[in-house]
Parts: sequence; structure tokens; C-alpha cells
Amino acid sequence: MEVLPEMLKLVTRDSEIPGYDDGVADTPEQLLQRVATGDREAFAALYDQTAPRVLGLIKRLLKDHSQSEEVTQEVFLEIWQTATRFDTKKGGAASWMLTMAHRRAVDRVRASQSSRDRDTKIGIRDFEAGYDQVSESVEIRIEHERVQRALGRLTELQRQAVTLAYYGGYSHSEVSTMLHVPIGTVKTRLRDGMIRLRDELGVAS
Amino acid sequence: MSDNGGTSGRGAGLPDIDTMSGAYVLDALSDEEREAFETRMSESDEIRTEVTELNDTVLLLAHAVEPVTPSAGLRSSLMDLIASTPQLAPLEEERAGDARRADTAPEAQAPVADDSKGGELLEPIPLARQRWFMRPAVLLVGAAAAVGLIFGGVGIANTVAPSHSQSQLADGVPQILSASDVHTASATLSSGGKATVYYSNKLQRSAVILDGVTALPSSKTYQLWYIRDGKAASAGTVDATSNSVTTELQGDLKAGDTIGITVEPAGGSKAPTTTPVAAIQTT
Repeated sequence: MEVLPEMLKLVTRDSEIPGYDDGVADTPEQLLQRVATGDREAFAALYDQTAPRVLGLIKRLLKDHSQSEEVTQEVFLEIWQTATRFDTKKGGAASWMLTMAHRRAVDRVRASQSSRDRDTKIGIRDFEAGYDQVSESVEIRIEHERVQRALGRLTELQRQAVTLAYYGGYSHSEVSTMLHVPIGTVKTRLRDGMIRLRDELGVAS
Repeated sequence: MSDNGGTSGRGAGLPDIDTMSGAYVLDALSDEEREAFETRMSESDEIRTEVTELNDTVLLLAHAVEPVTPSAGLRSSLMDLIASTPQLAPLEEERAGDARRADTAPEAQAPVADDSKGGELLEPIPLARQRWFMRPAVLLVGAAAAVGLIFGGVGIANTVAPSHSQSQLADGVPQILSASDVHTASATLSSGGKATVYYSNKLQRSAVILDGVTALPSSKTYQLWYIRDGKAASAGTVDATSNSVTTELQGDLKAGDTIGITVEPAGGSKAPTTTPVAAIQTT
């Protein structure tokens, strides 16, 4: 998890935390440990630090703002309930929360009938266009460009499959339909694509 | 299957399930495939390592997304919610010293691999969402016949007080959530929304949290069932009048019961009259 400190810094720096000593914000891990003792102020601080990230990711999948806020609420409620079982050895707090957020967003996408009927062509265009957004935040723009560069080194099929799955919340069978390739091929492309991304981004545990 | 551009020494020729690691970390598998993959992962260090690395990579994808500022209302509504929402008890043999640990989770939670995606084990683990659906007609016909015998004249409508908001937790719910052997499992309702069950075999009790479920007309209600040996016993009705409702199930849980949710006429039914919108297997 050597990518973590960098990530945490990003999360922390982007946020304003009311009631905290100037500049010295608690890390999400520290906050989460306090949340686990029932500390509601710590929960509020953790929320202020991380909610824009969580909502941003969820909204990337769901598009609809109010639905995305609903799912964000579910995620934070679950964080509150299960903070007692957070294990720092299994990874950072931000990772834990974003993993949960993505899973919940995917669940919501799949549960909703309207999304099942999503026009697949619009879908593909949409996700590619999503990358043109330019963030106001320098840190995020840098991260964004780094990921985009890495994505650019994948084959077209790998890139589309990974993008549709992660940012679109599509299952591999939906991706298979959208890209007109067999499911088995999608599975191997997702794996190959992620392995190449891992290597491009220098992630190793 | 081999134009992977030399990204890995392992590639073509892998067992099919081993190729799912990418789809797994991207949440692109079906629930059944995910369970199968987690089982496979629990058997292989190599796959576990691969998944850990790929999961870290996925997080970089998450971090490249533009943050979105939530409305002020979300924060205040959450602060209200947590004020009345109990937290889960830490898993047993913990709280010794510094970091909170959850090493005992795998055994306590479910017989699947745990150390997959950063803190994965903390997620409610969707179990057997499909299993009930595979044989609903048979099961429910049998259940309908049997439930008459079991129930006698119990009035179902008044067995449970509707819980109108998250803040009105049934009295027993905190006890269940804080039980030393509390387990959790969740499923998406086929009608929309999510059910998360917390249960304790020791207490023989369970509670369900319905999140974002479809609001029903006043002529309908959600009804909960304990399914055992092909028989469905009502565990009360739930009026999902707010976005998140927590309710304790009526009756005794037995380990291995399936908890079912159906949509029934207002007041509840003696036996399920519709195809379940969710079924959650306990262990």
C-alpha cells in the first residue's frame, strides 16, 4: 500500500475541517478510530474530509445527484456502524471508504431498472467525455492526468473495458454486449488492463 | 485471449476463474461469481497478492475522479441518523491496545476469503441472493401449505409496530448489533433498494435495515419471513415510510435460516403470496 500516504494527503488537503487546529488535520485513520468509540465530532470531521471524494466517485457512476447523495448517505451510515471493525492492517481508511462507495454505487446502478436500460452507445460516449473535465484542484488534475496517461497505454479494448466497468458500473456481461466481444475476452481484458495499469502506475505491495 | 501485451507471465491458459481478478477488483462480477472467486482466492496466495495490488490500482482510478461537494442537507441528515444508529460491536478478542483489529472477522463473518479488497471483510457480504429465486414456486407453494399449520391463529398485522424512521429503532436492535457473534449479510431488493441483515445465533434474533427501498402504496407492505426447511414463518411487516428503516424480526432465528422479504397486502399475509424481492441466507 505504498500509494496510500499520497492519497491521504490529497484527501486531507482538499478539505476544510471546522474546529480543527490550523493545518494539522487528523488523518482519516485517526478519525476513524475515534469514530469507532462513538465520537460524533470525529465522524463529522471524517465526513468533511472525505465526503466530496465519496460523492464524486458515486456520482461518476450514477450521474443523478440526489441518488448519488442517497448512496453517499448509505455509505457513511455504514462507515459509522462498522468503524468498530476497521482494520488498519488491511489498508487505509480512504481506501476502505472508497471501496465501499464503489460497491454501493454499483449495487444501486444494477438495482435500478432505468440504468439497466441505459443506452449502451450513449454510455460509451459518456465515459470517454467524462475525462475531459478539468478539475479546479491541482492535485486532482495531476492525479487525473497520471491515470489518464496510464490508461492511454492500454489497448483500446482494455481501456474501454476497464473504464466501462469502473466508471460506468457495468458488469462484465454488460461490457461484453457493449463492446461486442465474448465474456471470456472481457474478463481477460479487464485483468490484463488492470495489470498493465498497475505496472504503469508503479503499484506493488 | 493472448494479446495481453506481455503484461504478465500468467495469462492464457489460466483456469477461467483465475482470470476474474480484474473484474473482481472493478466490482464487475455477479454476486455468484464474486463468491466463487473469493473462495478461489482463499486457496491461493498468488491470487490474493494479485488482487491486493490490483485493488490498490483501482484506488488510483477512484482518486482521479473529480470530487463533488455534497449539499448541506446531507451532512445534517447524517448527523441526525448517527445519533440514533448503534454501532457494531468490535469483533471478539480485540481492543487490546492500539489499533483496532479485525483479524477474527473471516471466521465470524462468512466462510469466504476476506483480505481481498482493502477492508473488504467489513462490507456486508451478499449471500445467496439468487438461491431462493431459483426455486421460488416450489418453495412458496410448500411454504404456503405449511405455514397454515404453523401459524394457527396468530394475527400477523399487529405483530410488529411499524417503524417510521431510523430514529425509532426497535428496542432489541442495539442488543443484536452489539452481540458478540453478530453477523451481517445484505442483498439488493429486486424491487429496488437494499436490505442488510444483522443477526446473532446466540440471541436467536435478527434485525434488518432497509435502505432506499421503493415506497409502497398504502394497500401494500413489506413482510419479513424466516424460511426454514421449506417453511416460511412471518417475522412481521415493515412500513418503509422513510429512506432507511431498521426493524427487528419477530420470532426466533435458527442458524441457517433464510430471511425472506416479500411485498404483501397491507397488514401482512399468513404465507408469502408473491415472489420474494430478496432472500438472505444466514449461517
